[in-house]
Amino acid sequence: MSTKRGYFWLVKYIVSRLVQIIICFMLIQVIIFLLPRAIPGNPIETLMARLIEAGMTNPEALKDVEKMLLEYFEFDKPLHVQFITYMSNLLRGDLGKSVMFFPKSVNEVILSYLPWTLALMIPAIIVSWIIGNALGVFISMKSSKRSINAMTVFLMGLSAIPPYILGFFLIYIFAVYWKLLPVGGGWSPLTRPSLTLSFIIDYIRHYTLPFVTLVISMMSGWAIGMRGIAIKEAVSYGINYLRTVGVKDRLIFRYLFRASMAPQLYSLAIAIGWSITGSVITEIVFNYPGLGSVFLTALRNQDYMLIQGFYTIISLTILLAIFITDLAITILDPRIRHGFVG
Amino acid sequence: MTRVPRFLKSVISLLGNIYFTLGLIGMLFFALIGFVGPLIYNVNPFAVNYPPNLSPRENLPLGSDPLGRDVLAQLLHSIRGSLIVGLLASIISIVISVVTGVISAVFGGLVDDIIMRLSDILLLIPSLLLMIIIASYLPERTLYHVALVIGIVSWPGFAKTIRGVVLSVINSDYISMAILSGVPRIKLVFVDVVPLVAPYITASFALLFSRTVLTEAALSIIGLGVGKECTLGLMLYIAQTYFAINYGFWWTFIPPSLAIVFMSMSFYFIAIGLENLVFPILGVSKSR
Repeated sequence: MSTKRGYFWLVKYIVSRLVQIIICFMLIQVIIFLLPRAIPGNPIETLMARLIEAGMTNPEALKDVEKMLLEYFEFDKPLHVQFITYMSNLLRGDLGKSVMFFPKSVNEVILSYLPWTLALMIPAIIVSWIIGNALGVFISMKSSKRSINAMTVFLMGLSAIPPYILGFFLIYIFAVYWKLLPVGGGWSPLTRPSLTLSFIIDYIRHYTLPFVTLVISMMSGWAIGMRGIAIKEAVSYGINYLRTVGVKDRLIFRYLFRASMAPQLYSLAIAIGWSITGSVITEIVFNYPGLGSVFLTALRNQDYMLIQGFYTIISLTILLAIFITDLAITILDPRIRHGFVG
Repeated sequence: MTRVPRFLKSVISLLGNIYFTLGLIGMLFFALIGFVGPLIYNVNPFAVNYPPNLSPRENLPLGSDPLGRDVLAQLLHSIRGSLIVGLLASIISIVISVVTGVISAVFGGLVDDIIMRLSDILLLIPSLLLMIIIASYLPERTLYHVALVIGIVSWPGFAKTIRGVVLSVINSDYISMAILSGVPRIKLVFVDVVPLVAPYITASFALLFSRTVLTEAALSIIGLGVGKECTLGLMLYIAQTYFAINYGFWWTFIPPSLAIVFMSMSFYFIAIGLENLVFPILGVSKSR
């Protein structure tokens, strides 16, 4: 690796990665464009049925609405025409309008629900990362093999409990049996989101159970991963030396944590990239007003535009997270850096 | 040494592994409950004989569910249903991943690239969301349909790791010698490579089983699981849609939840046990 050649290798690497990512993104776009449209039925029919149910019985008015919607969305045009319109809008950052929430655009719908999902997921991921990794290091520092094994069995058992079942149990214990916290929802039925103290307290009360569920269910995964890394580090000469010299356990803990943190940081970035999808079922179980529940209603109403928008956002965040972490690791890790330069 | 004692020895060492033994006990327990239980407790799980949400009593050991059916009968049949879904889905998935993984490793080049990029893309679209879309195509959702949906979605990670293992075997010296001496490739794969990889495939299968049981439940909770038959996920779905949890009818959702968790856990432990014994370093459980 030479400074003479400047950062040409880096530019080359970034460009080749970007090309790969764009190809991947386009393929995903084609898939998510075709898949929902292949399901029999269409969103406008579903919407019409709902309007009739809601008491709109004037056939002339119904026909007008249907005509207007069809003209706007062009679902009767051939697929490639629809795809080209969709892609050209996408390049301008416009995901189209939602059928279900008609006058609203997909961007608006996603933007109004995304903050709630992120507010749930990102703190949960970070807290579970910290607790889980600390637990992993703590286990790896135990001297007796028996206690290491017992704790690992416990953690593996814990990791087999999916978040929705954990959610059921927590709801039953804390919300139904002890009545400490509300059963679900994002806030009390009669309040509206606002920046008042009473709303914030209300929100936190609703927030606690899904948050704890997510933290516990993600924690064991981090702990098992960290234990695997730290256990190799714990028997290294360096740590053995520190032990022999009589360094306090707390210092050894800190050293071990730092020494084995790197791969876990990489996974943390990926996990944050995946965060939007991770909470879909938890949101449904807790009836939390995030993207997950909107996505489910979009699917039930066959709202093509909203489904596409949802997947686009997800695939973009995941691809971006992978790209950024790859880049960071390439720059930071000399082995990969030199490997690429050759 | 004859063959039998050596075989016995490996069985004993396998049983000495705490994970494997725990998992095996769990698996046998659930298989027994699922397939023999309905014969002993012979009650029709669909019969609406009781008022809804009766608490457990003398001739109704686990009460009745929100639809007025016997929860114990439901539970026994559901364990069988969930085992069937898990088994079929894992078989479908393991067959796809072994075939694609082996083809990809043996042929290499363009074939390898296509299969690997395809699995990359499938890994990138969250599998649950993919399943939701595929599941909404189905005209009806029987156990077999749901198993198919789960099976065709959950292979990519395993295909990738099986490819890796096969590659590491293929690149070893004795295989190169065999190729040099003129053994046809396909024969080589089936005679030398697959038996070596077999324990690994078994471990992957157990891991897949533990995942598919959970996946079935997740799909059902969203409302896209099995329609008419009994599975554990469907029991949870019914309990949730009729707000049994909010009212505190614990007998409707705690037994199926525990069954799901322990079923999945026992297969997971079998996978870990096999992995610890056969591949101490590779690690199946790390594959996505």
